[in-house]
Amino acid sequence: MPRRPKDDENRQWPIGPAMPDPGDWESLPGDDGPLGDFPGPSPEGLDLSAIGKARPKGRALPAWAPYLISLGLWALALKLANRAFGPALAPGPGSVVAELWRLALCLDLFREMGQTVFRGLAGVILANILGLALGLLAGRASWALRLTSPLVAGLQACPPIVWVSLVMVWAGTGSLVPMATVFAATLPFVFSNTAQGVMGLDGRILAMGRLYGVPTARVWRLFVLPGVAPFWLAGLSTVLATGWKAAAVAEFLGSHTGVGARIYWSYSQLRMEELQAWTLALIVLGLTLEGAIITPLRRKAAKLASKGAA
Amino acid sequence: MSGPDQPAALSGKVLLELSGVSKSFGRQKVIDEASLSLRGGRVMALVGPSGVGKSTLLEIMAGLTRPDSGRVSINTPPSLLFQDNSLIPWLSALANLTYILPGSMPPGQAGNLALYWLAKFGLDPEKFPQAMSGGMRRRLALARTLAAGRALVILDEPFAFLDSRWHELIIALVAQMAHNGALVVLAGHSVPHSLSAIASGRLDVAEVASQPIRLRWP
Repeated sequence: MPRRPKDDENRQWPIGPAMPDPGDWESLPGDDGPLGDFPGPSPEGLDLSAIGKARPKGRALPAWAPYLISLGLWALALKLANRAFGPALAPGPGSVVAELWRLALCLDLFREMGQTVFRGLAGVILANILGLALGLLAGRASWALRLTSPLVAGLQACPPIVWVSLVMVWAGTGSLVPMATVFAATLPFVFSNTAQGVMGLDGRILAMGRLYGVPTARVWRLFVLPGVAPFWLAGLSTVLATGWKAAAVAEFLGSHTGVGARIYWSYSQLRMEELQAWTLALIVLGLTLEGAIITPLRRKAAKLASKGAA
Repeated sequence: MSGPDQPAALSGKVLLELSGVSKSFGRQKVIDEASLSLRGGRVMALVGPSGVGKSTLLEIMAGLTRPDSGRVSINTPPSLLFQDNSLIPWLSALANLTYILPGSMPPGQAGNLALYWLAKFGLDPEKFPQAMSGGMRRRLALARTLAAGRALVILDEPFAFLDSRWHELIIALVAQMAHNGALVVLAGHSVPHSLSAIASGRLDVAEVASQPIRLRWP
């Protein structure tokens, strides 16, 4: 942080005529008053020890309890289905977990999940690059946003199956199908959130930048990008939440590899233990993404938004 | 200090000229054929009630709003105190000030200049606008406007939200700037008596009491 200047340093500032001679400042009124306005620490001090230690009354459940309860309910549902349809159509929880363990040991689990995550992320990253660029441009021209809003709303409402079918017709099957599906399904969200963020920027601050000749790079770094960030982060959390699901659906229909493809393969072979094991793996992947990335992103977006709104 | 932008060179020169400027919003005419010629070393106070169009006139003077007709000549870069402060919420007081300082100024020098003005207005450099009172935000916006060091200084309601001790400082600064050759244009509901006393020889007061503003000066 720069230090406070001394008076003789002030004299060297090459500022225009509106800058009074610093030597005259000492005689100006207000020198004593304003500086006495800093709120100093209270002599008694404040007891801050209780901050962060307060807990709601009643016995709180440990953080893992909801997961354990959900797992128990899932096992119960499998057990009931097992009784109703028999082990060939509805394997019990024990055989599903054993199958999952087998898939983990032969590394299929990690290979297929890795592919699904990679494809989903590739689609999300590409959608973010293009969506950010287009959103930043469209946000500056409200007429462009108005004209394209029905199209964007229509694309947002499109189910991933539309993109899967189109890409399969144009490009056959393979990794391109899930990547292009995720890209097409998430692009409108990134675009509209970014454009809304730009539209929400205070036009007077942009005008002020022009008035003072603030360099464009500084305007973008300190004003535009931080102003758009809460909107973009909120959009990113949504596209991450939907992206991996779209990737799995696209793999189910249009790919030979990945978790979705393995679900399709197990279903077509009626290998129900494996089908349930892949389903369980997909749920765990979703929960991990939610807890590790999506929820923190949403919190960050809300925090930034509240900072900007104040 | 010397050079084309220095006080000696600017004092007495026409820094701002409006000729036949009109502005309407929809069917409402806010400014009607306003003509002004303002020189360096003077203080022009536009006095009138809220809502008559003073802020629009000031924005036209700063080149931020384009008039519907007429000609605007701004002969030196202006600095404007916005009525709504227009602070960047996620930047600290220090960063809000250095934001507008020239990119050519070394960062250390820009920081020192910003700290100087923040101290002058009794502001904590690390504080963010959201954690400030209305008066502190106003002082920060004022500090930013003056830190730009420009010869044409336009202040929209500079005394709003501030108590009398800050009025004294602002009045002293305005008088000092005019003495140094700057043209200061300010708008408000009234002219403080102490401004009349301090800058009496340099002060011009124009009443803009009703809409549309039909100002001819001098």
